[in-house]
Parts: sequence; structure tokens; C-alpha cells
Amino acid sequence: MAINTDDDILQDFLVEAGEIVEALSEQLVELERRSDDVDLLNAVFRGFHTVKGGAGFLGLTPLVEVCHRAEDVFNVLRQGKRKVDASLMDTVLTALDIVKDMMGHVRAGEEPPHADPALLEKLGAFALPQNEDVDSEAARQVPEEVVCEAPAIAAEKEDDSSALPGQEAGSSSDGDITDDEFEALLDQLHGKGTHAGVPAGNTVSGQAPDKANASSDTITDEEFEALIDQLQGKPSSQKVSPQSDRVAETKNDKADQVEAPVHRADPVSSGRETPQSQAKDATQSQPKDTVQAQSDTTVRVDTKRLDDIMNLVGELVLVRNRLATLKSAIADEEISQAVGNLDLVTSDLQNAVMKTRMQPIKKVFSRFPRVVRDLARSLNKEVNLELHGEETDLDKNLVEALADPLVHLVRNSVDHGIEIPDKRAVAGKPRAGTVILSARQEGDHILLSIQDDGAGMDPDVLRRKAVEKGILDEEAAARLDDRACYNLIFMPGFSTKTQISDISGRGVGMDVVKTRIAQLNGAVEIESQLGKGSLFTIKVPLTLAIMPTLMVKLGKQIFAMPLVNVNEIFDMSEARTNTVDGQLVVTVRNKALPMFYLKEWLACGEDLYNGNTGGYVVVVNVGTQRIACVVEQLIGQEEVVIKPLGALLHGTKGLAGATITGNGRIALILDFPGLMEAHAY
Amino acid sequence: MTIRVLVVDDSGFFRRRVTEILSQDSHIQVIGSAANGAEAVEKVAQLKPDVVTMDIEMPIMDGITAVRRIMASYPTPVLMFSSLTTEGAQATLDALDAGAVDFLPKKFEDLSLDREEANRVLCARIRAIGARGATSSQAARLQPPMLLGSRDKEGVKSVENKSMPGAVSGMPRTFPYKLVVIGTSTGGPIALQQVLTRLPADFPVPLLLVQHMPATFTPAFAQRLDKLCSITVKEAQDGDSLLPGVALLAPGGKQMVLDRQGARARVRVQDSEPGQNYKPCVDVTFASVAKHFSGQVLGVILTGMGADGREGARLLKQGGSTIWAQDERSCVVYGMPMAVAEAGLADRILSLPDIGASLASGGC
Repeated sequence: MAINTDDDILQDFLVEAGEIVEALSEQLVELERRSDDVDLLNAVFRGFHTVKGGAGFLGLTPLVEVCHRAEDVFNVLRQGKRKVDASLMDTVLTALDIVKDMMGHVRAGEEPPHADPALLEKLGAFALPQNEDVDSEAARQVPEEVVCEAPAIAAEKEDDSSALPGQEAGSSSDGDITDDEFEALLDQLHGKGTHAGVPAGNTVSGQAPDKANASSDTITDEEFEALIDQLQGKPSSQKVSPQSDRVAETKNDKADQVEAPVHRADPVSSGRETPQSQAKDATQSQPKDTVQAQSDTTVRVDTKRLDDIMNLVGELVLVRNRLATLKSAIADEEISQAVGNLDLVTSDLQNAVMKTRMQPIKKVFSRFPRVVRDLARSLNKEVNLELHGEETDLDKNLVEALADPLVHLVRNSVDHGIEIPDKRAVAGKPRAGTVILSARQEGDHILLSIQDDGAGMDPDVLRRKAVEKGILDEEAAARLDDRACYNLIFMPGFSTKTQISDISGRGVGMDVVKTRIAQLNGAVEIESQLGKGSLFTIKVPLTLAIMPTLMVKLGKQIFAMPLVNVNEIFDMSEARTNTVDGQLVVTVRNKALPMFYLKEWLACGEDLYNGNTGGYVVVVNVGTQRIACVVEQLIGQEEVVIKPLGALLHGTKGLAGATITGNGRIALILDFPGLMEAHAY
Repeated sequence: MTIRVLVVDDSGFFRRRVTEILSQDSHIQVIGSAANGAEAVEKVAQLKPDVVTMDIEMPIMDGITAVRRIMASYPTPVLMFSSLTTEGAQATLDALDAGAVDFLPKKFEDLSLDREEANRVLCARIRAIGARGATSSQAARLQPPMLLGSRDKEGVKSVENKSMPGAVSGMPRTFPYKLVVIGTSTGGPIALQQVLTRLPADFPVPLLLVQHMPATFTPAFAQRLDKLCSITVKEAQDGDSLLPGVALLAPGGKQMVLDRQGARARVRVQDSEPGQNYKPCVDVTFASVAKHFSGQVLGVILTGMGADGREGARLLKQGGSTIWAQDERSCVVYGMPMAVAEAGLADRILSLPDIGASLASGGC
């Protein structure tokens, strides 16, 4: 069945559920740290509950199924009948992934597929109170106190089967079972025989304690054996012997699981007002509310519409630029005032429209707790992730485009940066490493940084590797300064780990990260200190649609260089050039940079060598290296609106697009990484 | 009269849906919404709505606490939206205990597969509840101490617990009926609780209870009644015998009928037949009772929407049995008792406390 994605109700659901699911991934990771936080458990429960409710409204049955099971799990958790453990978290996180996946299907207008029955079953198993569980941990949940509390327990067979081994072990191994405890056990047994889980009649339960009293001191071994046999007849007691062995060992374990059986006893009270949960409430300093009330003052707008508006504003910017150029030709006070006003309004409009496209970087950041958690778990590392500046806004397209490179860098930090706990301990660091992911706006740029307190990078190791991999010869490697060495990791085919883990090496190398960021007109920098950690800084413009450029002239043609690439400019006459290995180089502050005549590459049909030695050298950053470009004329800095190239030129290497300059001419916008690829290598 | 509604749900999606559905009804006006219990309590005081729809699971303050607060400050009829799960049943019964008048499944498919029909049911329910306003019985309902007993942490029901404050023991041996059948709907859970807690453990005849309720709710409801009452209450199972002092609650989603062979009467639990709108249906149970126990039965119709029970009561009446109906003043929704009363079938029209007292004092 196709789903009508135009349906407002469906969209409403997807927006809300999307927010909840995002919050859930954070909360779940948080939960691993604060696993007994009742508020958090409640919040997660409500998250699944609300998504389920909406999905149910829309008849998205597969989604309802998964959410329902997950909700059940958290219902048991929040009642303290089960404790959060790693395997439970794995399962729940998988379930969340499936929920996300299903929502993806719904978004695409498809009926979501049913979840893997095995997963549903697993969730179902986790939704049982812990002592019904047959896994090895069940045995640890049998503290002596359970037995002391037993008279309060509504006799249910699950309780019996777990309480009994405790008794058995207790009596057979150290013989310290008390009469009281034994009475309690008997209460349970008597109760169970007739009740079968439902308090059927007052008479039976009323009699049970009496019976137990009467026989407590005089029970024989035979009678006890008989009771055991009775229990062993039940399927649930198959695990009795392995459990009892374990209980003997773990008898002194902390009795923090006591609440579990006691809660079961009184289903009416177990829900929301247990003393335990109240106590927890009291200690909770910051109750976390996930599902915020959505403001009713918002309007949902298709991003396509925003793109259109942005485009139109772009056109307006061009017209303004044109008028501003014309203004200088006409010395008319009124016109220049009007154009000045237009200039102001256009800038405001441009900012306003840009703001509508802004999204908090949280959108991307929110996935990291989960990424780091999963990764740390699979690598047996301990990693704390700190997020700063989540509310920093940037262009929607950028948010999406940054997601992959960021994930890769964070994975890299956890995989290569943070050491294993033992190694950290030896180095005198806390066992758990820290990765700090932060974002902040600086002028018209966004700065993103990924910092770890791991091992840092060893420039010598990097040099050696580069030589081994044949990326550099020994001499060239030796010449690299430390910072350049760090940048080696962005070279294609460079990996310092001898074994390719499936983690950082997921087919996407660091070189791809670099390229992707370069495509966003951004740049990456690395700082590192051996033994202290590394810092990756990404600088990207606020928006992709409007770009500050340096306009240059080659022959008669105008080209726009993204300003973010431009490093420095100097006069050609001051350049000291040389030829090394057949490559023209220019020495800038004792560093030789390869130098190219852009005209050779770009200005076809122009007279290439007309003996003109004038012009300027523009040093640009291209990926990890710097190159010097010779241009004939500098026009100046201009904000341009990027227009895609027409079909004929589309995909031409080295060109990012075109724009209309202030004087009405068309200028091609250069894409340096592409340009280098096409011509220099 | 327009019924002014406050919609309470932590999900904006749900608030908007409920608002949309209710807005289709010209008699209903959604005057506000709240995203959690605390906000709801505030808005009730501020907006004074006629009806509140309330979600149970909410941050900051859950729906049950909110109902309790609302009842304490500005008693307002509250309709709960519940999950039809066992957990949901417990929570819903807690909410009813706290003073909510009625509940509907949060998943509207459970109401009716036809979305339009489900919407109509929701609107009709709001109108019915809103028409009553905050009844005096509703405020009074908060008083009985036994209602709070359900939250005590008693694991096992003991004999001592059975001596309820309201229960008069020492029933007269000459009870004029062989069987008491009670049918109810909206407002019924609390009404039944009030009536049944008055009955002593040695109540001389069996009882059959029919409460319109989903299948997942009836076990929890029976359990709760059993805990609160001196008499024994259990959800009926196919083949159960009728025993004095034992009330059998018709299981949700099914029909409970009587089957009598000679002196032995047994309860049969059957699937619904097509056309039977209510599961369980009061008419179905009453009719089967009329067939086997003519003239010796007391039929009681308590608060509820609609007219279920009227035809069953007619059959009972034709067989010479006695019919009581709850009076308008003490009803949450005066529908089913009104149908019986207007059809001239009711021998007595009693307030809820009087029904309990009269039963306890020998059915006179």
C-alpha cells in the first residue's frame, strides 16, 4: 500500500516522531550511564509510547509493533523489575534503528516492512521482569532479602523458582537458613499451588500463613524434598541447579534487586508510586523532558520552497550588485541613496531568508552519543562524549552535508585516538577517554572541532608510513614539518592502522572527509600532541548558496576564486621562481610551492605566452597542500550567488558553477580540488 | 449548548488530531490544550472547560495525578484516553478511581475500524459526558475511604480486609431473589464499586455483572473489585457455577449467558454474534437470565450511555422479575437507566448509595 506523503496528518506525525526518535537515541545512550534514573526511563517509555500512539492512529502496524515491544521493555524497567544491561541496550538500540528505518519508509511513501520477528521476540524477552528471565544474570538477582520480604509477595511461580534456589543453596551450603525464611518459602509454595498467579479467593491466601506456622519447625527433609520435586516439575525450574551453584557464589552480592519481586507483588502500586521511584525522584536534580510542547505558531514549509526563495534572493543580490556598479557611473544623489537602501534591504532579506534555512547542528550531533557508544563497546574502550554548542545554527544543506564527514572524524577519534583503558591507565590518564565535539559560529563561518584526549599523532610514524605506502619519498617525508605530517592522514590510501578495522575504514577514507569538506568550501586543520590527544577543526561557511569570492581576470575572462581557499596574494614581480623536477615552483618564506599559470588551464583560445610577466600570485589551499596560481589581474572581493552550470558544462572538472558579476558579466567559479585533479596531477 | 473541551496530551500530534475530530462536531468546542498534567490542572482552573480529555502517560505530571488534582480543585468531568493493555487497564482504573468519568481507547481503531464511526463515538461520548456537568455524585465519589484502599501495598488479601467499613454484615436470610444481575456502562466501574463494597461477605445470592469494557480491562477490574469488596468478584469463565456471595463479571469482548440444566446453573462465556454491538452486552445476559430464572431475579441498571439493558430488562420484567434503575442525579450518564425508566420497566428508581444500601439490607 502506498502512503500518501502529502497527507498533513502523516507529515505532522513524521515531524513529531522524528524529534522523539532523535531524542530517544540520546536518552538511550544517556541511560547506559544513569541506568536507574526513573525520570529518564519514563521519558524513554513515553517516547516509544507516543510514537506508537501516532503510528497506531495512522495504521502503521509494523511501527506500532516495534514501539509497543520497546515500550513494554521500558515499562518493566521503570517499575524496577529489570535492570538495564548492555545486551538489553543493544537490542533496544537496534529496535530504535528499525523504528528510524520504518519512518524512512513512511517518509518515502512506502508501507514500512514488518520488523524481524527475532528482534520482536528478543524485545519480548526483555519485557519480562528480570527474575522470569532464564539468562545467567537471573541467578544474581536472588538476594537473601527477597526471602525475608516473601510474605508480602503475591505468590507467583516465577518468584518461587528464583527464590527457591536461593533457599536451597543457602540451606545446603552453609545451613544458615532461618525459620522465618523457611516460613516465607512455605508461604510461597502453598500460595502458589492454589493461586496460579491470580489471587482467587481470600480463604486460600488467608490460610497459607497458618499452615506454614504450624509446620515450620517440624518440617522433615522428605517434605522439603517433596516441595522441591513439586517445583522441579515446572518448566521454569529447569535452571534450578545451575542457578543454585551460582547463588552460592554470589550470595553476598548487593541486594539492590530486592525491589523487583516486591513490586510484582502489588501490581496496583507498582506502577507509579513505589517508594523507590519516589526516592529517585527526590534525588533527580534535572528532570529531563523529552517531548516538548510544540509551539503552535509554526508553519511547515517545504524546503523546496525555501530553496526557491533563496534562489530569488540570489538573483536580487545579483541585481543589487549590478545596480551598485551602475551607481558609480551615474553621479546622482537620489539614485545612489535608493541603491544604498536597496543594498541594505537586500542584505537584511538575504539574512532573513538564510535564517529560515538554518537548523541547529544538534540535528547532526544528536547521533553521536549513539555512534560513540556503539563504537566504544565494540572496541572495548571507555569513551565519554561531550557535546558543546549544539544550538549553533547553520544552513540545512550544510547540516546534512556535514553529517558524514563528522561521523567519520568522530569514529576516527574513538578508533585511532582514544587508547584502550589499560593503556590509558598506564599512561596515568583516566580509563575513560573523552571526545569533545563542539560547534560555534565565528563571523560568517562555522567552526566545528573534534577533540580527543587520546594518544595523539606521532609525526615520525606518519612520515615512515607515508614512505612505506609510497606516497612520499624519504627525503620529501623528512622535509615535512609536523603539521604537514598530520595532514598526511588525509592522503588517499593512507592508513596508520596495519589492520583495517571495520570501524574507521568503512570504505570512506579520511581523504574523502577532506574532499567533502572542501566541496562545502570548508577546510580541515589538525593539531596534535603526542600522548595528549588531537584536535580536528573544520571551518565551513554558514551557507552554501552565497559565497564570498576573489574575482580575478585571465585574459578577457573573469573567474571567481572561493575566498576560503585563498591564502595570500603577492605581486608577480616579487616572486622568486625556480624549476624543480620540471615543475615551476615559487619560494614563499623559504617554502617552495608549485606554481601554475591558471590561464594555461582555463583561458582557452587566449594568447598564452605573450611575454607578459606581470600579474599576481595567489596562494591557495587545496586539500592538504598549498599551490601558487598566477593570474593576470585582480578585480576584488565580491559576494556571489552560485548558479549551477548549464547542461553543456555540467560536471566540468575544476568549475563549481557560475555567477553574474556586478557589471553584468558571467564569471565561472573555480573549484580548486577539481582543478588540480584535472590538470596538475 | 456548546461543550467546551480541554485536550490534554503530551504529543502535539495527538492533541491536534483530537482537536480536529472534536471540532467537526458543532456542539463541541476545543478551548485549549495542555501538554502535561500540571499544565492541565492550571488550565482547568483558568478556562473552566466542561470536559477534559486526558492522556495517562505524560511528563512532569501524569494523567492520574492530574485527575486527582482537578477533582480536588475544580471537579470537571474527565475522559481518559487509555492503552488497551493490562498495564493500561490498571492505570485507567486508577484514573477512574481518582475521579475520571470514562475512558476511550487511545488507538481509535479499537473503537471502530471505520475512522468516521470512531470519530462519531468520540464526539458522542464527549457530548454525553459534557451534558451532565460535574455531578454531585462525582464530587461525592472522591470521599469514600475504600476507594483509596486499592493503593495500599497489600500483597495478599486477608480475611481481616474483608470487613469493609461500608459493608453491613448479618444479611436477613430471607432474600427475595435468587440472583442479582447488574448492567452498566459509562461511569459503571465506580458505580459498581460503590454498590458492591456495601455488600457483606455472606451475601445470600450470586451476582452477575455486565460492564461495557474492553477485554484487556475486565480481568484487572474484577481483581480490583475483589480486593475492595467483601464479596468475591471474579471474571467469569466458561462453566463457572453460580455461588452465593460471588459476583461474576462478564469478560470483555465476549458474551456471558446462563445455562441451566435442572437445578444447576452455569455460566457460559461465548463469542459475540454479529450485530451485538456491545461486548459484553447487558441485553444478552439479561435475556438468558430471564429464560432460566423467571420471576426470581433482581435486575439493576446503573449509569451508562445508550439503551443497552432495556430489552433484557423487558424480558426479565415479563417473566415477573424486579428491575431497579439508578436515578438521574447520581448517574454519570443517564442513558441506560433512563431507557429502562421511560419504557416503564423500573420497579424502583434509586440513587446509587440507596441501591447499595437496599441490596445490603435484603433487597427491599
